[in-house]
Amino acid sequence: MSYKDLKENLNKDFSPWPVRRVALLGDSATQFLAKAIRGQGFEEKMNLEVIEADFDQMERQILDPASELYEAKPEFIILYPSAERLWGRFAATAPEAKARFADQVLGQIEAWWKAAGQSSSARIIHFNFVEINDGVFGHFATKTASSFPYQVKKINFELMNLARERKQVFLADLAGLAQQRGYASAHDPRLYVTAKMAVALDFLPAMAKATVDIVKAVSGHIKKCLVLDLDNTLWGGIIGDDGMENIEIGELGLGPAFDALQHWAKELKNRGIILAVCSKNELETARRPFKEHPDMTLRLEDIAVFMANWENKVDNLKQIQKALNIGFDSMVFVDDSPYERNLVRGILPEVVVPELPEDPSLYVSFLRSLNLFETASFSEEDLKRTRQYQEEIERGDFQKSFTSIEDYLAGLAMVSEVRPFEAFNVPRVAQLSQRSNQFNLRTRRYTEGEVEQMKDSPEYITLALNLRDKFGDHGLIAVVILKRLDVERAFIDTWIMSCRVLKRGMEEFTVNQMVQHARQKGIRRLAGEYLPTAKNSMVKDLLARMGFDEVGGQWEMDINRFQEFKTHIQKG
Amino acid sequence: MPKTIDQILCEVNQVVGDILREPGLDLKMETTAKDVKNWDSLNHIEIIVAVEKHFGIKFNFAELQKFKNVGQMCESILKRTN
Repeated sequence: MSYKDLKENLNKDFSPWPVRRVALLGDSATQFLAKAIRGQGFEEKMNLEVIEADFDQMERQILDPASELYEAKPEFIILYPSAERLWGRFAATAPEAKARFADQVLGQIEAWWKAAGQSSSARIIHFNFVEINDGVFGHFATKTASSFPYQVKKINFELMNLARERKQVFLADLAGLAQQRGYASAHDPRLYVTAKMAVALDFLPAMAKATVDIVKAVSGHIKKCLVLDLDNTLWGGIIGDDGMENIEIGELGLGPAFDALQHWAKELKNRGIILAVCSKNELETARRPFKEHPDMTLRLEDIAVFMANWENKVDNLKQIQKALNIGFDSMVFVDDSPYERNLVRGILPEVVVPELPEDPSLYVSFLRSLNLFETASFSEEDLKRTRQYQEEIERGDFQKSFTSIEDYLAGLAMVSEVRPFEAFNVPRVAQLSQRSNQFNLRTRRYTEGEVEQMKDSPEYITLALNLRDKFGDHGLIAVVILKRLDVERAFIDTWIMSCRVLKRGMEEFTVNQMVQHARQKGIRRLAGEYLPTAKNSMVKDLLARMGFDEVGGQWEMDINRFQEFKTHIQKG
Repeated sequence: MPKTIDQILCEVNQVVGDILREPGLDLKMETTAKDVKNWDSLNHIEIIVAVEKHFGIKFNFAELQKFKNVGQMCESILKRTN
């Protein structure tokens, strides 16, 4: 959100929401900040009426019980004394008094809070000070009590202690925000000189968001649950295909990036955020690293609800929501797949779904920057929450819900190209045959050389299918190899698919294509078998679902009686 | 290729029009802020920052205060972009 976007919001319709008054008092020009706060309120469905006082009036407004400030009966009072003005005061302080500057300022701020508490029931949101280094003592300022950096850091630290004693006061950590962006982007000296604006235009949205985040949290709108995907979110790689030993965590590959995310999630859990898992995997495969992998930070006891299955994620999120008995608007869903993210956004718009960066190294810094878990309280109770939920879930069972995701699939604009094996797809076909473990009917492994031979052999009917949708190209994701048994019969030697595209109708599309191609080659009967392995139980019933009949432990299909499946995939 | 003063004026029109929500804005070289509806001191700040961002330049604020009309701003942009 830029300042311009926030300003655009001011022309929109706020009428669906009740007016909530907030007073904004600063000692610099705050007109822009006032607009930004109202504009940011729109983003959160809040009709914030921002009342301003002239900036020279800040102290009088606070200390005078009969001031316009208290007459307006605001729900929140936002106090923004700027570090720039503070520096001016510091500079004007006599040298021998500089070491006591912080005490003087703290005494004054405490008097403001006290006065506001006596004249109003408003909550106070108080911005702390940007920690400007005035360049007078250099780094030595850190051990010089009479320097500005020393005094301003002391003020910020002691403000935290003072705020802890006052329930109605909430500090907004402007120093932290400015540190994130750098002082050069937080403050434009030219605007300060010419217009008394202490905040650069591009920094206003950050301040407005801090304000609105706190208003929201104080009003009880907080996030309670973090739902995590597993493969390529909590660890690198696909557990079902790569095996537990090869997932990236700890020192392996990009492991440190995933470690960082796990540590972050654990910290959240320790402060009372419920963790849940929502992953497309076999349950036992997905749970194993949590029990056995030495480098996993998160353990089974950290996860309140563990959903790993092949159902769609919306249904799984609904189950998590039901199990925890919380609102969708208090859930955050973190998943590396744009497909899953958009599915959830489309059907459950209240769930917050961060647009995770593609590079796992950036996951944590990105998530941290969003301030998703603002809160207005913290207690001992928060620490025990996960266990309480786990116990509740163990007691009651929750039923399955069902969502139609047909509309979503229809809107995905899925297109699949179906090619026989040919020179350019041979390497990828071989790779898929080597690597796929889960959606793999017979787990036959073929080298590039063997695939090459099948390509030219009349004995084989081969299909390589790719898939693209509006989010991008998934590449070659399914392979079928039919081996001729005689003139009119063929055997499904291989049927592999990438689990990333499961449950989008790709299975059905593939069998449609398989039958069509076989028919063109004069085949009238298809035969198949399922060879169980430790990892491929998901395709146990595949042939039955796809219209094959069981005949003595094998599966057969009369092509002439095959009913084509309806799918949302176009042939490209 | 360096921009001409006419190109700059045309782009300034777009940037200012965007801030003032006046898509068809037609600033001339001799136009002053006073001639334009809503070009007040607050919007002026936004306009200057947006123009700087658009052209990737930084004005000297001392100079800025002496600008008499849009033309002088465009001349300054021309000088800084080329």
